[in-house]
Amino acid sequence: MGQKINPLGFRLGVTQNHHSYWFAQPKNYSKLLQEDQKMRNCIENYVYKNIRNSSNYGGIARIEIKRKTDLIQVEIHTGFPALLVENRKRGIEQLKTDVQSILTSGDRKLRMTLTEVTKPYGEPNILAEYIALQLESRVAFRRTMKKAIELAKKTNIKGIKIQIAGRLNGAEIARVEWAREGRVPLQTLRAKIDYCYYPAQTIYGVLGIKIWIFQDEK
Amino acid sequence: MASTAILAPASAASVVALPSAIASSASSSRATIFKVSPSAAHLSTFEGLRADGFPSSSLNEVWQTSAQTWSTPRHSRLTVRAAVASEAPTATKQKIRIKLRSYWVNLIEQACQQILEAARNSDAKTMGPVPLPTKKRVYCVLRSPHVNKDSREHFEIRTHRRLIDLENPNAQTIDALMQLDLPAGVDVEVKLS
Repeated sequence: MGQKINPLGFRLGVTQNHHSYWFAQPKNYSKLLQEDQKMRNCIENYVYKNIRNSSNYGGIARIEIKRKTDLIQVEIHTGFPALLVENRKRGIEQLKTDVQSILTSGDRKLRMTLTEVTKPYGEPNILAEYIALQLESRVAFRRTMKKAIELAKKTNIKGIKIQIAGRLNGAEIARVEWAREGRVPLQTLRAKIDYCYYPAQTIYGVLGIKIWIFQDEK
Repeated sequence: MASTAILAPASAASVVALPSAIASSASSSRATIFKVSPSAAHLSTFEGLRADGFPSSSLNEVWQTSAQTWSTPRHSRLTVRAAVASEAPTATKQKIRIKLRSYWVNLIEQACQQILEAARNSDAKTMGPVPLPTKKRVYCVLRSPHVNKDSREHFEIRTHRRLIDLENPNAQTIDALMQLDLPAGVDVEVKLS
């Protein structure tokens, strides 16, 4: 046996799309890449600080960044758009100014849009956040895994696998536990598999949550 | 001096223009034999002034026929030069050269179609999208965070390139092109000549 390749990277040309769409000359590439990373961190931090409390969770599925010559389009795919816009348009304006302040070499317009994801629990990112929230409030992990699988099964997916690693239930010795439902063919390129890794910070340390969701096969 | 460009397939305008230059130079420097220059004269005398100057014959044939060319009397070469000169292009053409670059094939194809539509709707002559060779930048990185030098992984970035030429653009074409909204992720370079 060996290590498993990240299923997103494995399928990039085939059934997986990129999250950023822009072209850059080699000398500008690293600068734009760093900007992209900063923008994504900024958005996630904002959501984490302002919106995530014990009952809600941020619910960002993916952030798409498209750059044209003088326009940057940021599309935030979120499962619960109401959470982000609860302050009646002031919420996203604040986010927009935050992100704009990060962009060096200004005079580029920034356009931010929210896209709603139908069936939020079919996205591994949102599911992982849900599990992390439960684990941080010290719910038994096996129950959390089963509940998460049930939530995902309501949307039409063909398979799901959840793996949690670390000090489960506060044990001294860390271990890895996983639960699977349906089939998750990681070796099949034409299988559309979404993957996410999310760390959950508990009082005992960090629990790593990995989720594979098998959507469908072309 | 005429260079290696002559043996390569040339467009109509350049082949027609070159023999006049070559004939004049050939007549001036008769003693030295240029490997390449007589071929153009050969084309004009032996292929009846055809516009496409594909020198399909091999280099040996070119040598033999060039020997014949050298031995033809002077007046026939002058008539060739006169005939050829009349076919020279009359007006200087303005060309827009659009170079597209992208990492995604479907995006660049879409952009090509948009540009060609805009150009054709405003009646400009287009030289269709020429696919230039795809450039690949390969990065080889170590897989492991620490030691294990023998185990690595390759990543590559493919840059797809297309070339579109527009001849004699009018103001309508340029307006249409300016208003075009190309998909993000396609880099456009425009050169006017």
